[in-house]
Amino acid sequence: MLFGKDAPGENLIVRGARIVDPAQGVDTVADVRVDDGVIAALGTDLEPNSHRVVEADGLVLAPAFVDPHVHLRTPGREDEETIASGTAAAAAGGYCAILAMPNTDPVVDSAAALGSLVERARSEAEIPVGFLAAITKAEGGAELTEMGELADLGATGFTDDGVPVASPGLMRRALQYGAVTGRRIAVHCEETTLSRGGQMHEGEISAQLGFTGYPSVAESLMVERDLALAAYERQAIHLLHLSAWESVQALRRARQAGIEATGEVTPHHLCRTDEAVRTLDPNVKMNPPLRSESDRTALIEALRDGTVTCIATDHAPHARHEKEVPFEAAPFGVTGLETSFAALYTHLVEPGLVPLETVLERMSTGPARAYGLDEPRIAVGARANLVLLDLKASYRITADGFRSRSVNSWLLGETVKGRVRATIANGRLVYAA
Amino acid sequence: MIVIRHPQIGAPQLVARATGAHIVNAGDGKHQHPTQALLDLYTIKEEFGRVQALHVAIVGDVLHSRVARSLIQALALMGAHVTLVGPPALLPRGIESMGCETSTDIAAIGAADVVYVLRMQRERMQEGANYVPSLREYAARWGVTPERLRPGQKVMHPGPMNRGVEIDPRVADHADALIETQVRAGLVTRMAVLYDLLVGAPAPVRVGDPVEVA
Repeated sequence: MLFGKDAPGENLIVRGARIVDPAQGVDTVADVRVDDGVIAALGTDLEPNSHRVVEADGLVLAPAFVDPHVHLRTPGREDEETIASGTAAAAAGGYCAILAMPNTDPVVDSAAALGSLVERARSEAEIPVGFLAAITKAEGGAELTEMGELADLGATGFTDDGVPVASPGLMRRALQYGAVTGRRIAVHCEETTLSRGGQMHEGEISAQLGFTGYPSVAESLMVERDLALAAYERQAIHLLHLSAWESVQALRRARQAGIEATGEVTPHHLCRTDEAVRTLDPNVKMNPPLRSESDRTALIEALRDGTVTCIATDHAPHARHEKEVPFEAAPFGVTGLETSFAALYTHLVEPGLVPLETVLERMSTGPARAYGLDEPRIAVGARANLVLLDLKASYRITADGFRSRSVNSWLLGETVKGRVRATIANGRLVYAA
Repeated sequence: MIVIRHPQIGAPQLVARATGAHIVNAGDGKHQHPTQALLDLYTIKEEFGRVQALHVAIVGDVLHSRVARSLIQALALMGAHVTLVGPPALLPRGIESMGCETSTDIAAIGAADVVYVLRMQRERMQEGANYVPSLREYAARWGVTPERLRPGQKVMHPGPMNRGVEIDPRVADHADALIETQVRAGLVTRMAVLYDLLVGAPAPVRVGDPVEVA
């Protein structure tokens, strides 16, 4: 379930865009008319009547994006992000829906905590937002949350993101009980006795720089464990932020074996490698860490062949003073809501590594399907969830250009191509540039 | 000028970005210790008259050693042959990419012209990490003892030493040890670094000139 401001849909007409809806096999130039927030007509030379006109000559109109992995830092760190600022950032990034992770302070592990977020989302969310609740109380890995009640109140799914469920026995119980709620369990795969103290991917560059390594096997071992448990319990599972080739190999085998497993990858893992850590810039420090070029290549291949169906930003805002410290002292995490499409277009589509259609599908239909949300689509009768993209716009990412309260972007200073020109979420024009 | 020693990697770089002052990295975490590498090169050159084509074995806790990382890089630049020797968990995976080879067998120091002994950095050992079962076993397997050295092999150590752990006292105090030379070289090379940065030109001292050391 998604929550946002209860506002009426708008009357809009988007004129002259190239409409690309990969899930429906659509690629054509046409106008789109939206009546009261619902797509009412597709065609050429549609009458604008009194509708607000969005001129879109030379632009691409696609189903708006769905981000299945966002940290809104609310409650607890509203100085880093709020529901209002995070959803405004998402609107600027072309998103019509985002899912917030429960590792806040306090953790979203009770009806009271979830209820308060739902209430705030209804008054301040610029686009619809869903909330995952914790698998275990306080993400402590000891005791299950009251998943039934949390699901009834609208939790989109369950996760202890930020930390793994260390105990295999408890993970099994979570999968068993999660099935009762009908919501998906999402797992942060990290074997912490292997990753302890790790600052970056373990490999040649960590050896050269002296950083304690966080080896790929710390992730893939847990991926294998959780897939084995999901297979044994015949339950669905979602793997968060995969970074290593061994992990996507395991996911591929599991899917081929018929396990209902989905996975997500982030733009930073698709576009950057551990080479970036040579800068010692805390804005390339995140968990899981940037890995090697062979890992990046494997993630790209998994995205292409459909092993990985979701692109997630893992948008993780941090206060400036917490990131302006030596690498080892900095917290893990980078922002991503406002730069994801540009990053992927610049680093994957333009060089010919991944087709535009695949990127669009994995940013929209894929994540929506993984969590059972309505899939954004461009068809008459569908709720208008649209993003207008300018593939020719080239610009530099700067710290003053964000709607997020935090600026810990891994792209600062980089010139990218591909800009979101407008976002229509749940029938309303929520962003235009 | 700011001279900075810091327990975290990259602190000098962070300071350098924030100021126009000259920054001297006096050691940042496990990353780099450039002036130690300079004084070690100076010491080796004083002893052998060259660095190129010498074989240097670096023994011990490479994982936690900023000294090792600077020295490996410096020796590779100067054309020396470097072998790292130590317990598997203290030889970081991928370190060969710096242009060296690795061995877990202490016998590998036998072929070296210089045996460079690293300190076992007990304070860096995370509790329960079990890099080695015990210091006792470390000393037995990897301790540099007279029995494991050939006559004439030179021994270096960045100090401070754990006598009886990574280095046998008989080795530390032997005439083939260059450890006190390293300490003297530290003074002159660091003077040269400071002079060079403050004056903006190399110090007018030629290698081989007598230098008065307080």
